[in-house]
Amino acid sequence: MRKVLLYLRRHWIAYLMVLPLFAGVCVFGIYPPLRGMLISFFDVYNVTDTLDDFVGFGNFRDLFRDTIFLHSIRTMFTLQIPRFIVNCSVPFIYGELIFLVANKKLQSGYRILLLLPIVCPDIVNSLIWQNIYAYDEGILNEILTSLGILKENIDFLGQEYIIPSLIFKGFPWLPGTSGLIVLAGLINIPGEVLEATRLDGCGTLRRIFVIDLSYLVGQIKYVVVFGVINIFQDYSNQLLFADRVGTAIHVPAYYMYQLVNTNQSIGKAAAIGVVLFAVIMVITACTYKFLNSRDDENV
Amino acid sequence: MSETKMKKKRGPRSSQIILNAAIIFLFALGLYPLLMALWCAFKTPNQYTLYKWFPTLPLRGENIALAWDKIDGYMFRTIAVAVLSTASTLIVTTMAGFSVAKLRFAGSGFLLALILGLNMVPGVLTLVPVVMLYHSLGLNNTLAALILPGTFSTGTTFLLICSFRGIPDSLFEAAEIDGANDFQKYAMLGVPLAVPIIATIAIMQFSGTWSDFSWPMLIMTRENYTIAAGLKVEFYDATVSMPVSFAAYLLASVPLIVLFFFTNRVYAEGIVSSGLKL
Repeated sequence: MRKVLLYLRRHWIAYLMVLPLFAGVCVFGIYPPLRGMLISFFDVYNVTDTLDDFVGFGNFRDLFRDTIFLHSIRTMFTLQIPRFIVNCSVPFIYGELIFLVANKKLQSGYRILLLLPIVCPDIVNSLIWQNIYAYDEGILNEILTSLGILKENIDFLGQEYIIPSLIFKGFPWLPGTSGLIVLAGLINIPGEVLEATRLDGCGTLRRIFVIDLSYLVGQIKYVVVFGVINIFQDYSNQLLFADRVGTAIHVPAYYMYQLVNTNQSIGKAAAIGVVLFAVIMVITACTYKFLNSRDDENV
Repeated sequence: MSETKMKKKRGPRSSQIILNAAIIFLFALGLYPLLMALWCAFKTPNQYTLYKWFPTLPLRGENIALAWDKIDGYMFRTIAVAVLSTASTLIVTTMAGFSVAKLRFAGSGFLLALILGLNMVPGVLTLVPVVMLYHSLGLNNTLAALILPGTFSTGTTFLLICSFRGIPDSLFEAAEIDGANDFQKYAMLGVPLAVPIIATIAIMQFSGTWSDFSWPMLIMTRENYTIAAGLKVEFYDATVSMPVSFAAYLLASVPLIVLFFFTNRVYAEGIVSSGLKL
């Protein structure tokens, strides 16, 4: 006992310094995921309800008979996977393009331009794109009709075209921070290595695939793992563009958000959370495993 | 002299010209919508219909006043929330991050494992219970509901642990010999030496709070929304003249533009030097 007291007396400041985080993490970090799993086994209709109607796997059974949910899984693949591919490749394309610039002054200028899109809140960007795609006086419609490509305006944000419209939203997808992370990785490649490839007559394209990518393993992991998780979690576009198209762009995470927001079937929403959690865990583990095995081959 | 050396090193000049042209073209295409929003904010409805593609004179400053009337409440609330949540996040996470990284105490290993484990928990699992938790604590529709979520971020703490670990131990041993206690080591050595990453985190937290609209829409009532959610209900869901909407978008971006103008170098440095190297 005395030993413990002595120890605390020596280290009390350290304990005091971690206390706010620890306390907060207990309430807002540890409790919610456990509670979330518990809620998924109860019939809850309102966010202020208590848990007293245990239904076992009832919510999960309902979920896999729910046509909106089943359809939302398909939408997740058609909408989010192309966006995943864009999100993963674009930072490398921009990073590599800027890295190849020989003039250092221009290069650092581009580096600042690369970050410029972050001054524009996502919502503003989306609202601007909503304007580009609009049916009346929409910029894209005006360009395409004046060039004679379209005879009459297209409703890009209607049911029929919404998915491709959302995939191309933001074109040419300036990458912001992730582009900078890749560029930083490229700048860290030792000069001697680049010199050696040049002396050996290695072309630029070949160098990119053989040398650069193997130096960027860390960045690739970062971009890919975050991208994979985002396939399941991201619904920022749905928040803005879903209202007009029924359930055409519902993804599971957005369906969950909607159930909570409209205060219906909270138990089912929690079940969606648990299902997505399980899937994300499995997929991230696989992604790590896959990326690490690639890593070994390179060594 | 070094200029000519550069050119010799990297292949023929024509390929560099093509490369630069391609980059400038992509940036122009990518930034054009932002620029368009900028000049459309100063047009009359007529000018907007006819000449939205390029800036025109005279500028119509009235749009800004009209837009400001609609969003002033959201703006002031968001500034308060973003400043407070950034401050609380920095205080809580730097103290904890420093302690775990540099002060050896029983339980620090456990805390690190906890932080790493919670980092793996995706937001989709916690959305429902967190909303219910805020309701049962009576925090829904309060400023605390907007400030607390980032404050106990395990991701941020982990990033800080990584960069505090990069500081040599010998500095802190020297300070201890000079009689510094743990808090002094944190405040007078740890924090100043980690300024780039702390600044980067501050910028991320500020702009994240600024731009978030899904959480405020879930936990607050309309009159207490932050700016991003406010823009959605006031301009996206309602019919407002486009130039006034663009003026509002511009006003909503001003704080981020100012922040970026003063901090882009620190931010870039922080990203490059931090654990994001991986």
